Amino acid sequence: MSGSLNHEKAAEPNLTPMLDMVLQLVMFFMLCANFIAEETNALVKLPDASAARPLDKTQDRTVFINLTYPGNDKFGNPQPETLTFNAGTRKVACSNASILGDELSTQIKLDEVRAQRTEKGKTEWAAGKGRSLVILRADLRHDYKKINEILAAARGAGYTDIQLRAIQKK
Amino acid sequence: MHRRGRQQTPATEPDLPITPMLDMSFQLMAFFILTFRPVPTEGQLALVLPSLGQGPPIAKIDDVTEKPDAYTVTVSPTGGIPSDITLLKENELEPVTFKMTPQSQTKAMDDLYAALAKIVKDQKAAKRPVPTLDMQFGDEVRYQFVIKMLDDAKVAGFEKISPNLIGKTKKPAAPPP
Repeated sequence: MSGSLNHEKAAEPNLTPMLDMVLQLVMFFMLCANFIAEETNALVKLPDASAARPLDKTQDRTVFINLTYPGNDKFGNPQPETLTFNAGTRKVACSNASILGDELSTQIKLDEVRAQRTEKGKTEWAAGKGRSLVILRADLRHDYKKINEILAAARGAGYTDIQLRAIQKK
Repeated sequence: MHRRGRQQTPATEPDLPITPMLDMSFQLMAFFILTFRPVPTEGQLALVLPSLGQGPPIAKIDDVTEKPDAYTVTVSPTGGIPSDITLLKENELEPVTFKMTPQSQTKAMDDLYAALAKIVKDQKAAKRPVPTLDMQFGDEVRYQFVIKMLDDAKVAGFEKISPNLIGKTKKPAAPPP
């Protein structure tokens, strides 16, 4: 006769579904994470604009110009005003708009060299396309004079299409 | 026939050790949670600046297309805020002026927006092309208000807007006689 065995066993939580849920969460955060972020300087407080269009798929060649306003960062340390030029791997801190203008002139020459390599590029260049996209992220607290210097520097270098970044106001 | 006492199936021994896998997953998740940083949605205002040697953007003049009117807005600030705004249609002498009031700091800008919206509405009703707008800002106008005014002009319906400093707008080259 078989006796009933004493089946005392500590209940084990079923870990497999828990693992599945955790992996779902990890997938979510991985998809939201953006490792190759655009050169966005967190110190720049952008102005609001309701006519601000959503960003198009970023084209290959972009030039970011970040202009911060002197103030304290989140730790309370005073930060000076900075004007940075960032084109892919080239990142230059400019002390004034004319240095920025020089960097932009160098950049447009690089754009031209790149465009002239192919026939399609040559026709595009002649039509006014093929230039890097210049994006200006300037703090809202600045005087317009400073912004105008930067726009004039860009125009002087040959860039006529400039994007001003703003927070989309609903 | 009697049944044998059925043997309880023994609990499955974990061939695959899930507990350490779960620990590693928690580690990964903690990393992504700590590096997750939601940013406010950035938008863009695209400007097309005229190249050097040209004046503010003007529409190409065909034989059939009517030349659009050109308006000039001049913005003078007090303490960074636009306080005196004038709106002048080309070839007219008397500008319309909007002023800030002590009660409302944005009154000048709001009045300008209303005037611009009316201009575009009237032009569209008369089936005329949308006018061009040259905005001249004083040196000390805060960038925040420059963007606000460019934004207002776009929302009002203007398409060709060019921002400049007061007095620095290059006059378009006179057409050859």
